[in-house]
Amino acid sequence: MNGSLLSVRNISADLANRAVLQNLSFDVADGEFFSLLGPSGCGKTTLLKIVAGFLQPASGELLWNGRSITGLPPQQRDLNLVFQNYALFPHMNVFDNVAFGLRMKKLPPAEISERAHEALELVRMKPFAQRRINELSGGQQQRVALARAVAPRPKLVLLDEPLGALDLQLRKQMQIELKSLQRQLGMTFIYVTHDQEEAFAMSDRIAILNQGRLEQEGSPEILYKEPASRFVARFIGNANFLNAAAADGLKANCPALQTDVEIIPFAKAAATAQPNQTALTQGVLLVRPEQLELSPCPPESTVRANGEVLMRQYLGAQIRYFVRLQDDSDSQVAVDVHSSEHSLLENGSKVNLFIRAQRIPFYADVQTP
Amino acid sequence: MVNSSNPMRKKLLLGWTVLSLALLYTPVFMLVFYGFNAGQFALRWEGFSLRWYAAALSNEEMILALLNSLLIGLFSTVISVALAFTYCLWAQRTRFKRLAGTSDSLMSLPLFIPEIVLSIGLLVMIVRFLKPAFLEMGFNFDSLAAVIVGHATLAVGYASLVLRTRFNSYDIQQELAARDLGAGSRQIFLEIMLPQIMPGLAAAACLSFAVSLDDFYVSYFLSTGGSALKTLPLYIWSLQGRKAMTPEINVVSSVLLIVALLFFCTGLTLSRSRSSVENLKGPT
Repeated sequence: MNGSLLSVRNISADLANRAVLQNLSFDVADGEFFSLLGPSGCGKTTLLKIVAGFLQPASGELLWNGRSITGLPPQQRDLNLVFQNYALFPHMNVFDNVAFGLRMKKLPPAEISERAHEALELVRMKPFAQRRINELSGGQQQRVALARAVAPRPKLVLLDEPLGALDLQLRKQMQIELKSLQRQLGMTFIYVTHDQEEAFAMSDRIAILNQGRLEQEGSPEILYKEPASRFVARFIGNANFLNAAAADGLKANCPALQTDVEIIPFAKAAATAQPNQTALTQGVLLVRPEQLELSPCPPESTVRANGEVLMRQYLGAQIRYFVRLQDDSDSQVAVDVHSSEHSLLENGSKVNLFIRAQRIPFYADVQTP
Repeated sequence: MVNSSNPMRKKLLLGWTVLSLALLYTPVFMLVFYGFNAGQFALRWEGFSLRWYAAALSNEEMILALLNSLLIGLFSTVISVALAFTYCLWAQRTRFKRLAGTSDSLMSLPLFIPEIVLSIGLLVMIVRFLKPAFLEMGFNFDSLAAVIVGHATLAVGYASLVLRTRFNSYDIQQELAARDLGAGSRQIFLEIMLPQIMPGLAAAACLSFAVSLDDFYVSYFLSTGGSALKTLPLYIWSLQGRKAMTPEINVVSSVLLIVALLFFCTGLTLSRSRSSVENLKGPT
C-alpha cells in the first residue's frame, strides 16, 4: 500500500446544533477501496459531504497528500461523487452527462469525446451514448453516474450508497463490477453504505461509524474476528454474547471464565477493550454462530444437556439453530452447522454445545465505581 | 343510475354536452361573426364584408390601444416572472418547508380575490405611497407605470403557480453534482437549471401576458377610467359608450380574443408538457 492520499484529522460537525460527527480521524491510502459503514443516521453521509467540500466541518482538518484542503470549494478538489439518487442531468443525453466534467475542465473537444466514450466503455454503456437519461433502467443510470464521476480521472471517487436502489441480484453483480473497475482504474474509492455485506464484499478497509464516532477501522477480517466493541460485534455478522464471570474455586494458576456453555480459560479470552486482566471479572464473550458446535444428547445420557433447540432455519449450505441455554435461562444463542454434515434436529431436542475458537473476544462490563 | 350502455341515454348525454358547449361558445362565435357584418350597426346583420376590419386596422386610436396593451403586457410580464422566479428559488431551497407551504397558499390566494377589490387596493397604494415616494426621488409615476405594477401584481400569482410545479420536478442535487464536476455558479445556472425550468418560465410568461391583456378593472382604476391611458379592453369599453355601436367593436374584441387565447393556450401547453425529470426511473 502506498502513502495516505486523504487524512481525516479530528473532524467534528454539527447540524442544527446537534453534534453529527465527533472528533473523527482516519487515513485513506492511495488506491484503496475504503468503506464508511454504519447504521443510518451515524453521520457517514455528512462526513462524505465534508470530504467532497459541500459542508464545512466545525473543527478538524482534511489533508490531501499531507496538504490541507479543508477550506477548498468542491470544484477545486480532485475528487468526484456518485450520488445516492445519481443526480444525473435529465435534460442531457448519456454522453453529455459523462462529458460534463470534462467540459468543465475545458479540455479540447476531441479529448472530451475520447475520454467520455472511454468512460462509457468501462461501464459497458457505450451503445447507449445517445440515449436520454429517462430511457434507462435504474442499473443503467447507476452506470452512467459512475462513468460521469470517473471520466475526469479524479484521484478519489466518493460513492454514497450507490447501489441502494437496485434489486439484490443486480446489486451483487454491481459489487463485483465496482471492485474490478476500481482495480482497473487504480483510483481510490470511498464507499458509504449501511450494508455490512456490501462493505465486506468490496473493501480493503472499513471504518465503522456509530453516532458520529469512529468505532473501529480495519480490514474485514479484523473487524469480524476482533471487533473493538460490542456495537461492532453486533453490527458485523451475527453475534452471540455469552455472559461470563470469573470462575471461582479453580486452580489459581489457571484462571477462567464461567459461562452458560462452558468454562473458558483466560488465555483464550482476548480482552479487546481493556487489556489488563484484572478487568476480566464480569462481561460478555463474543462467539460467532459458526464457532459453536452442537451435538444431540441422547435421552438416556447421564451428561446433563446444556441446551435445547427452540427453532431451526434451513438456509441451504447451513442450518441455523436457535438454542436456549440451560433450562432456567432465557438467554439463547444461534448455532450454524453445515447442512451436509448434520442431520436435522427437531425443535425441543436436547443438545450439548461446545465452543470451537482459538481466541474469544471478551468485553468487560463497565465498572461503575 | 346512469346506464351508459343504453343507446338512447347515450344520445341524450351527447346532446346535453353539445348544448353546454354551444351555450359557452355561441357568444364568442357571434362576436367574431358580427365583425364581418357589412352594415352600420353592430347588432343588425346586413351581409358579409371586411370593411370593419379595414376600418379598425386604420384606426389610430385602436392601434395605439393595442400597442399600449402589448407594451404593458411585456413589462408587467417581465416583472411578474422575475418575482415568481425569485419566489420559487426561495421556496424550493428554504429550510422552513412549512413556511413555504403557507406562502404557496398566500401566493395563489389573490387569484380568488375579486379583481375590483384588488384594483381599489392598488389605487390606494399607488396614489398614497408609490406616487409620492417616486416624486420625492424626482420620478413621475404615471398611469403607465401604475398599470404595469398593477398587472404584475395580478399576474404574479399565476406565474408562481406555474413555475413552482416546474421547480418541483427539478432536483437541486444536480447542482451539487455539477459543482462537484467543476462547474461554477454561472455555469450551473445556464447549463443545469435554466434548460430544465425554461418551459416553466415560458408558460409563466405567456400566462402573465394573457392576464395583463385580459385585464379591465385594474387598468380602469389605475388609468382613471382610461382618460390617461387606454389599453385595448379600455378602448372597447369606450366604444360601447357611444350612441351607435358599429361592428368595429366586434373586430377589436376579436383581435383581443385571438391574442389572449394564443398566449393562454401556449402557456397551458407549456406548463403541461411533461418534465423529463418526472419520467426518471431512478430512486427519489
